[in-house]
Parts: sequence; structure tokens; C-alpha cells
Amino acid sequence: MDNFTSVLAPVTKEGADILGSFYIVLGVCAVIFVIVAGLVVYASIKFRRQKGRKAKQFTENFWLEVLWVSIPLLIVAGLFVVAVRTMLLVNPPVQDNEPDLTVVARQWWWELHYPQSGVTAANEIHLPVGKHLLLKFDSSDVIHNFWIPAFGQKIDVIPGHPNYMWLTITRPGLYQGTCNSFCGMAHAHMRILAFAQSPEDYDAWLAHQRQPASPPSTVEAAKGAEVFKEKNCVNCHSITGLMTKGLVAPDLTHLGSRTTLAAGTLANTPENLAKWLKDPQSVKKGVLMPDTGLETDQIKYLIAYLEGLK
Amino acid sequence: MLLFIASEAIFFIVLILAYVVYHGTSPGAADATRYLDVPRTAVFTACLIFSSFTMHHAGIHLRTGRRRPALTWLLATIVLGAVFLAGQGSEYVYLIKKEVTISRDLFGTTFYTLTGFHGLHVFIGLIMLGALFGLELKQRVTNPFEAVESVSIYWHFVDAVWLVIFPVIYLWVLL
Amino acid sequence: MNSEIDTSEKPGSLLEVREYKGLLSWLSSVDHKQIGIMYITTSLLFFLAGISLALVMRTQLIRPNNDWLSPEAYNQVFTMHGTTMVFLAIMPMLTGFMVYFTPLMIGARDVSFPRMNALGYWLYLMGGILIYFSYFTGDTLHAGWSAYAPLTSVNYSMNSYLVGTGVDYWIVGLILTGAGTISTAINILVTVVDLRAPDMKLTRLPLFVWMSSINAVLMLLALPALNAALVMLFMDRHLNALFFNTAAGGNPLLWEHSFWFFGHPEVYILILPGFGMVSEIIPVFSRKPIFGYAFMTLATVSIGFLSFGVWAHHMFATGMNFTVYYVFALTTVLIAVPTGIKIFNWIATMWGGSIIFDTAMLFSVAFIIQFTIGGLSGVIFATVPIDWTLTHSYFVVAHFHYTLLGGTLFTVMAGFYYWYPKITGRMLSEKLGKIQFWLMVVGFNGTFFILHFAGLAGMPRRVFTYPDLPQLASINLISSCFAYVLGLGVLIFAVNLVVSFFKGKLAGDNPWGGWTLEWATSSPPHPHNFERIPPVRSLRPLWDLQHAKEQPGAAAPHAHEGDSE
Repeated sequence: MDNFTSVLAPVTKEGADILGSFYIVLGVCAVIFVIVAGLVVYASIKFRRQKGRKAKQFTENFWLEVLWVSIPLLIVAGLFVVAVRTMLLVNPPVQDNEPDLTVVARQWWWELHYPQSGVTAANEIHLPVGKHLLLKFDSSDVIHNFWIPAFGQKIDVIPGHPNYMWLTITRPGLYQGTCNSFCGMAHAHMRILAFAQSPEDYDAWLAHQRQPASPPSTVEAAKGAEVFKEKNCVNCHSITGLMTKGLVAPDLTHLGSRTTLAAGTLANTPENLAKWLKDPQSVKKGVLMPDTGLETDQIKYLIAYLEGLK
Repeated sequence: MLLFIASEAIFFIVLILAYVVYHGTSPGAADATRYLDVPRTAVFTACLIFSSFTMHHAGIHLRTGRRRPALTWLLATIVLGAVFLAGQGSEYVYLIKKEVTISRDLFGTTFYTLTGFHGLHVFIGLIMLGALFGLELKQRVTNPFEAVESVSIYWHFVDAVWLVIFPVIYLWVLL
Repeated sequence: MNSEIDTSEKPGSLLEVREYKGLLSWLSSVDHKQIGIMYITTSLLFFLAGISLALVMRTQLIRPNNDWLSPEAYNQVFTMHGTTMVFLAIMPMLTGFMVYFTPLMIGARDVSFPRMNALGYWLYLMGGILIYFSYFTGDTLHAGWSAYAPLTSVNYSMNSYLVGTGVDYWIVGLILTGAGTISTAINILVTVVDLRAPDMKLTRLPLFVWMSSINAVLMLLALPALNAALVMLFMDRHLNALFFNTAAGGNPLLWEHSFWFFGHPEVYILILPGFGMVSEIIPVFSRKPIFGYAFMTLATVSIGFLSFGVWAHHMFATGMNFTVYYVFALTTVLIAVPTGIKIFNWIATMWGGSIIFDTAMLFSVAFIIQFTIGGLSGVIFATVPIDWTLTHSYFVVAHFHYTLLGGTLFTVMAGFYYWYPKITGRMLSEKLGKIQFWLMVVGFNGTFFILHFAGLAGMPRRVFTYPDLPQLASINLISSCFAYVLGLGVLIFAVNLVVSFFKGKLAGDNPWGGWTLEWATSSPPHPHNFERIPPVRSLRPLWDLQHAKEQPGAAAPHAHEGDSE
């Protein structure tokens, strides 16, 4: 989890296009600023009160005004053109294209569907490099926002109003992001992880995700599966191959293969999973997972089972 | 008063826009609007429109100090306004009996909000007219021009808002 | 000095004015000057609350994964910080100055509707108290000052987060303050139209009055949109209305459109009077008239118009139709042009002048530079794809603090140093003022410039904590340290205000050598404002008066103390 994300180091074609226009606009603004600040500083020094010099009482100059109306007008017109050009480049019309990934934002995690392969996952996104991908976004409750800075743009995720984003990732790696629109108590803990992989690795990942859950391989893990059933975790969480019912919480079929827990809040280790199972509120206050009332050895078995779900 | 009306106009425009936007998209709209009785409401609309004429005449007489006609025309305005409100109230009762409520669908939400706030403004107008009536009765209208002007403009505004709401809600149903 | 305007019974300071003695005279006042002072004082108290909330925020953010504040506490703090600063501190502070100085600058006795003026103040106070009362109920609004639906409109049964009444106090409180604002706006407009001194044609109207008037138009037409939005939100919450209920076909974007239709003119409401103040101060301290009066007025009128046409630039990331985006991107870049006109005109006013760098002028000059930064970062956002990347991040937090703090607050400070003598009869300490100025310049820029980089590094806004990514920790640490410097500056300002009230040097009628009508009467002014109003033949009545007594082409007036000529 140590890749820092920065808008200034884009890993998508779209992000690079936007950064290009950012530098253009920034450059123009910097020049304007230097001129304005320079004039202010110069005037402050040159025209400070001095003995023997009186203030000149001029009040207007029509052509000067025209000058500093027309030049800014031309500049902003140019900036508008830059904006339009980049908009069309980065977000061409969606038309009838089927999305490669549908993200459903929920308080406070991300539900993922890969429509073309029928995979359902949660929180950690995998995407292939080098393809022009279409992502679709929907929300099941309030307004969220999806932003991975290294990818460039963000998009609001609004209930009842699906949104789309095109992405062409150019470099494999792990990229972090966040929910970017205040969505409730645990908004700060609604993080995003995206793994950009080569097309082969991505296909392999998808194929693996399509598999149902690995059956428990140890005695402890088997006991864990029992705990999972007894405690009705399935009311919220699904595990394909064991029990599939719950829709309101992250799918756990391949939990063991994820690198983080709780939407990017914790690294996926047995200790952290124990902490989470014992008291979710202490990790991510406000989360909708109720206090489970699990005992220590129940937690131990569950961890064995869940971490085995690779 | 004109400035205040500009401000209120924006308030109503936002609510009207909400109605218009949701009219197209709400699933329940087509169903609920069949309970609207357009001809009946048209009659009450006519009352409100006519009340603007009576207000205008009341204004003339108030300004020229002719007490009797002034009071008569004012009373007529008040009565017509009250009739309008009564009509709207009975319509509400009918709709609620047919289970068209605020929370039933977006038609209910936007309909009651828009017509409700308009009705509230009519009611406040009636209070002002009543005050004017009472003052004139006691012959205490000290500054007839200003007071009459203000109340008059307000009343015409309330009428004008209905002239927008009526087509948007009721006549649109007929399309 | 203007000895012909001197009268025998001149109050030396505010405490000596007979009509203002006693609490009742204040509680029942319909004098625009008392009401103005009440607005300003109350808003200063709310401002101190707002600054404290800000310092609490920066303390929580000083290191990553900080658990000093719980998420609910932090979420309440940032919401109340925004709400307090916008609605209860800055807007009323500016309103106070508008209400105090508009009649004086046009040579009137009071506003057109003095009782409605008082009503405006009391509605503001009641609304503010209601909003803060929510703290006593244990639950304040905690969804940001923009309170997006459906987070605020639907009580998610599993999420007890927003079931509380905090939102409702906020809604009702704002409806009250909004009503007060609308009534004051009407008052200002009617006053300027009706009560100007006989020869004060509109072309001789001081720029502060021009900008206050256009500001009043904005208030008049923007606040009702907020009221409509608040009404709809309240109905969703309590009458089970469906405005923002997506399951029933409602649309959260309706809230955003209504709110921002108000919200964007609101930020111009928060700057226009400040522009006006600076347009008065820079000429006086440069000892020459404002440059380009006609263009300044036209620019302000166009800003007024355009401000109603840019609101959806707050919604560029919501996935609307591109045509909508083109329109709003165009209007947004266009609105930069009249603002630029103003900046150049202020610089041209300084040009060739004989500039005296008293505290008021220092703040005005810093304002020009800082507001330019804020305005330019706004232009960056107007480029839609860049907005797609940087909106809702700390880059936008930096942008709006540069315009609101580096911009408006600095103009307000300038206004205080300029007009405090007129209001109270005593000068603010220049020494403390300069210390305050440098603390604020260093503190403000140190806190906020670096936050542009936090945004570029991917930090979202409205988060109670952030992970330990390399750049974020150091950026936030630096920012928080400078925030305390800024806080210290504000503290010194508070000290200056209080101490000078009792111990400040007596100001006299016109300590700065100003030329507009408020300087043609005593400090503080008589309750009825003027004994006699000088003839108004130009934008600078007092200048004309002084020069009528001297030879044509003589030296500048010797009004400023320390002026050795």
C-alpha cells in the first residue's frame, strides 16, 4: 500500500491528456500572476509616498481599459477551446457500449460487477492495461464520488443517475483512491484500490474470481465455515459455493486474495481481520456491520476459513 | 414591494421547475393527474382573476378617498380570494380521499408543495386585504397611495403566479 | 480640516453619544448605525467561533490517522465551520458595513425602512442562535455546509447518522437568516434609489455604494432559491415528500441545482462589498481618484449578471450532458474578465500615486495579490476536465480560501482599519495592526498555498483523517502550523478592537483625508448623520470642497497626519 497517488503522475491516457491541459492553463495563469503581482509590488515601491512628489490625478484611459478587456477575453476563449478539446478526447460518448466494470457505491464500500464475465467482487478493482475501458457507476444510497488520482478524473456516483468513465491505463501497478464526496460518517474510510495488470494477468484473475469459494482445507477452517453459517453472516455477505444470499455487504468469496479489508482501511492480515471481527466500529466508526458478539475461538476459526478463501 | 416580488418570483420559479422536471419523469404522475378536475378549478381560477379587477377598482377608490365604493370593492376582492382558497381546500380534501398524498408519488409531492405555497401567499394576501379593509373602515389609511400600491401589487402578483401554475399543472393534464 | 461642518456638540467617541447609552437604546434601535454595529459585533463573535472550529480541524489533521477527534465530531466541526463563516460571520459582517455606510455615503439620514432594517438584524441573530442551539440537542448538521441530499433528506433506518434534528435546526435557522437578508437587500436598494443627496447622480455614487447595491440585487434573487431548496428538504425529512427520493423517481441533482443557483451568487455576495471597500481605500491611501470608475461599475454589473449563470460549474463532475458543461464553462471563464478589469483598475489607481502604507492599505494590497491567486485557480477549475480531476479535493479548498479568506477577509480587515475610527471615534492601533497584518499574511499563505499540493497529491476534502502517504503528512503538518500563526493574527485583531475602543487615539472627522461623504461628519456621526451636507459635484465631494478654497492646481490636501507637506 505504498504507491502514493498523484494527479501529477498519471497512468492513464486520459489522465495524461488532462495533465497536459492543466500545465497549459497553469502556465497561462502563472504568467498572469507574475504580471499582476509584479505590477503591484512595483507600484508599491515606486509610488510610495516621498517628499516632493505629489500623486497624479488621472482617472481613466479608455484604450487601456479596452486592452485589458480584450486580452483576457482572448485568453479565456483560448482556455475554453482547450477545455472542450480535452473533454471530447477524454470522455467520448458512451453510446451502446457495454461497460467493462460496473461499480455500485454503497455506504462505505464498493460493490464491483464485471458484466462480461459475471464476476462479483468488492473493494479491490482489477483492470487490464492498454485497453479502452468503460466503467459504469451507480449508487445504492447517497451521493459518492470515485477518484483514483493517478487515473485522472473523478466522477460523482449518484443514486438513480448512472455515470460513465472511459479509462486507458498505460502502466501496471497498484493505485489508490478515495470516495470523494462526503457520504456519511465513514466517508474518510471509503478508500479504493485498483490493480492494473497485464491483459493475461487480468484474465487469469477474472477466471479465478469466477470460481466458487475454495472449500475449507483445515479443521479450523471447516469450523469457521460453520460459524459463518450459524451466525447468519450470509444475511449480508455472500460466499459463492457456500451460501449466496446477502447483497448489502461485500462479497467474501475470494476475501483471502485481497490485500486490504474494510474498503482499503486495513491491511489484510489475520490480526487485522481479528480486530475487525471483534469490533468493526472500533476500526471504521459508523460502518453498518453490527457488533457480531463473536467469541475468541469463533473468531479464530472464521479467520482460518476466510483467509483460506483465496 | 416590487423588489420583494422579484424575490418571491424566484422562489416560485424553483418550485415550478421542480414540478415540471418531475412531471416528465415521475411514474405516478399520469395516474394521479386523472383526479384533477380541470373545469372546476378553472372556475375558481376565474374568481381569482376577477379579484384582480376588483382590487384594481378598490385601489382607485381608496386613492381618491371614496369610502363606500372602496370598501365594497375591497370586500369583493376578499370574498373572491376566500372562494378561491375554499375551492382549493375542497380539492385537497377530494384528492386526499383518492389517496393522492405528498408521499404517494412525485406528483403529490410537487403538486401540494407548489399549490400549497401559492395558497399560503393568497392567505397572507387576504390578511393584508383585511387589514386594509379594517383601516379604511376606521378611516385610518394615512398614506393611501403607498399602502394601496403595495397591497395591490402583491395581490396582482399572487394572481399572476396562479396564471402560471394553472396551465402548468391543470392545462398540461389535458395535453 | 472641514471646519465649516464642525458643530458645537460633537461626540468624541461612541461611548459618549447620548442617544446610544443604555442597553434598551440598542435593543430597540432603528438607527442604521446602531444596527450596523450590532451586525458587525455579532458577526465578529460568530467569526471567532468559526476560526476556533477551523483551528480544531487543522489540529485534527496535523498528522495522519489521528484519533483526537471522532469522525462524527470532525464532521460536525467542518460543517459548522462552513455554515458559520458563510452565513453567520462574513455575510452579516459585510451587511453591517453596508447598512452602516450606505446612508452616510449618499448623504441620507437613515435607510428607507429603518424598522425593517432592525428586523433584518434580529432575524439574523435568531437564525444564528437556532443553528447553534443544535449543539445543545447533541446533534448538529454534519454533512457539509452544502448538505447534499439524499444524505440529508432520507433517514436511513440503518444509519442513525442523520436521523437527529441537527439538520432541521440548520434548515429553519437558515430560512430565518435568509429572510433577514432579503429584507435588508430591499432596504439598501430602495435607500440608494430614493434617498441620495440632491446632486448625487448615479455617476457620482461611491463605488462602495454601487457594489453594495448590486450585491443587494444578488441577495434578493439568490436567497429565495436557497429557501425553496430548504423547504423541499424539510418536506422530504418530515412530510415524507419525495423530492430527493430516488426510489420514487426523485433526483438528488435537483438539490444541487437549487442550492448552487443560490450558492454561486452567494460567493459573489461575499466579495462584492469587499471590492467596494477596497475601491474606497486604495484611492484615499494613494491620494488620487479611483481609476476607471465607469468600467468598474460596468464590470460589477456584468459580474452581477454572470454570477447567476455559472452555478453548474459546481456540478461538472456529476455526469451531466456536455452541452450543459460547455455553456457553464463559457460563462465561468467569462466572469473572470470583469474581475480582471477591477484588478487592473486598482493597480492603475496605485500607479503614479503617493501611497501611504497604513494597515488598511497593507491589507488592500495583499488582497489584490491573494485574490488574483484565488481567481486564477478558479479559472483552472473552469477548464472542465481539470475540474473533473481536482474538484472536491484540497485544491478546491485552497481555491475558495484564497478568494474568501485571502480575498474577502482581507478586505474586511482593511475596512475595519479604515472605518473603525468613523464608527467609534477612535483609531485602531497601527502598531498592532501591522503585527496582525504580517501574521495574517504569513499564516494565511502558509496554511493554504500548500493545500493546493495536497489536492494534487490526491487528498479529498471533508475527511477526518488521511492515510500516511508520504506527501500528505508533511503538507498537512506545515499547513496546521501556519494555521496557528493565522489564529494568532486574528487574536491580535480582537485585542486591538477591544483596547482601541477605550484607549485609542481620538480620530476626529477625517483622519485619513478621505473624500466621500461619511468623512464630512463627526466620528462617530450624530444620530441624524449630518449637520450639513456638502454639495456633491463629483465622486469626491470633500476634495472639491478643499480645492475650492485653494488656488487651482495647488497641492494635495494636508488631511493625513504625518504628511509633511
